[in-house]
Amino acid sequence: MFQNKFHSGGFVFAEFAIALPLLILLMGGLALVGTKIFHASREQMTNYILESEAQYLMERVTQEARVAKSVKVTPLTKDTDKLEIHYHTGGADDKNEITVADIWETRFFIPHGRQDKDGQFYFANINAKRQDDGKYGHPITGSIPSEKPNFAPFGDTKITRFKFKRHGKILHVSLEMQSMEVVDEDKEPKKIRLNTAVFMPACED
Amino acid sequence: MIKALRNERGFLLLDVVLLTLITSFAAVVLLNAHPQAKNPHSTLKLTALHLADEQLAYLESFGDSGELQADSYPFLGESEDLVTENFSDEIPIEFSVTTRVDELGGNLYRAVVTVGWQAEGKDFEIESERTIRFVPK
Repeated sequence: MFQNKFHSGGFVFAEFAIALPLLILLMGGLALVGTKIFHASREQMTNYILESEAQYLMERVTQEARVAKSVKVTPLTKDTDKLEIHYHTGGADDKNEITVADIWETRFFIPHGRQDKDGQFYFANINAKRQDDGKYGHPITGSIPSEKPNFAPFGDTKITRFKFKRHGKILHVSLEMQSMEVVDEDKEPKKIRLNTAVFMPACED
Repeated sequence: MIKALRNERGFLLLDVVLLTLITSFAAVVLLNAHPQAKNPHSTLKLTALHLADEQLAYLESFGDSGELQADSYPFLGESEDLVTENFSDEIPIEFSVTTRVDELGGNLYRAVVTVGWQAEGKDFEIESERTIRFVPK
């Protein structure tokens, strides 16, 4: 219905070619935006992994500390402490009777010391999973940096600050984590610092 | 040349319109996706939630020691925790913490902590609530 009655077709290639430079320009623009989105997604993914790991570690520390019977903080370096949490736990006996046994358990939060590819010592992610061979791997990427020292898989993180302060039955936790992903050479690596406190109602010391 | 073009079937206007529609749709989707991919506010929200937890921990400790009252409280935690650089290294964000404690009866109190901050000219706020048991001394 849009066709010209005098010749068989509507737009011909020659006519369409006039619009070609404009189309090329539009495609170029789209490709540029696409590249920007790719970089932004990389940055967003880096932030997401860093944020979720910091949140996960913070939740673990606060939930464990909440039920603590006693807490011991040992400074390791200027920015890093070792946290030791002792608590009671209940146990059921063999006759399937519910009894509360006075079992003491201890949970340690110690960042794993490690050397990076530049030979610098740092504290790796505390969530790192230990492999059968005793090496620590990244929980998300599954990488073991000691095996591939020159290769940092996407999303690796490290702890730059892990400090605790006691105020009576309150434990103040300060955690800073840094992404080992370099999204932009000109920018500083991404860091996240979370501060919180947890009340330990059963803490006796 | 004209003779050759006369025999060409060519594209219909409808074809060109459809192509333009598809291309502009893709452009709109991509241009909207770009600012959404750069959203640092979730990190600030997470920082604010932990700050609210810090305030609630101090209020719980007040409840445990029998000092809690139905009142408004200033921020009781570490004052340096009120400033964060999680948004960007150059722009520190300052949090404001307001707390309201109401008596529920039966030795129970309801604490509402509001953490507010300003980023990119906009105001943001989160609210965290907790029921706290009061232990009379």
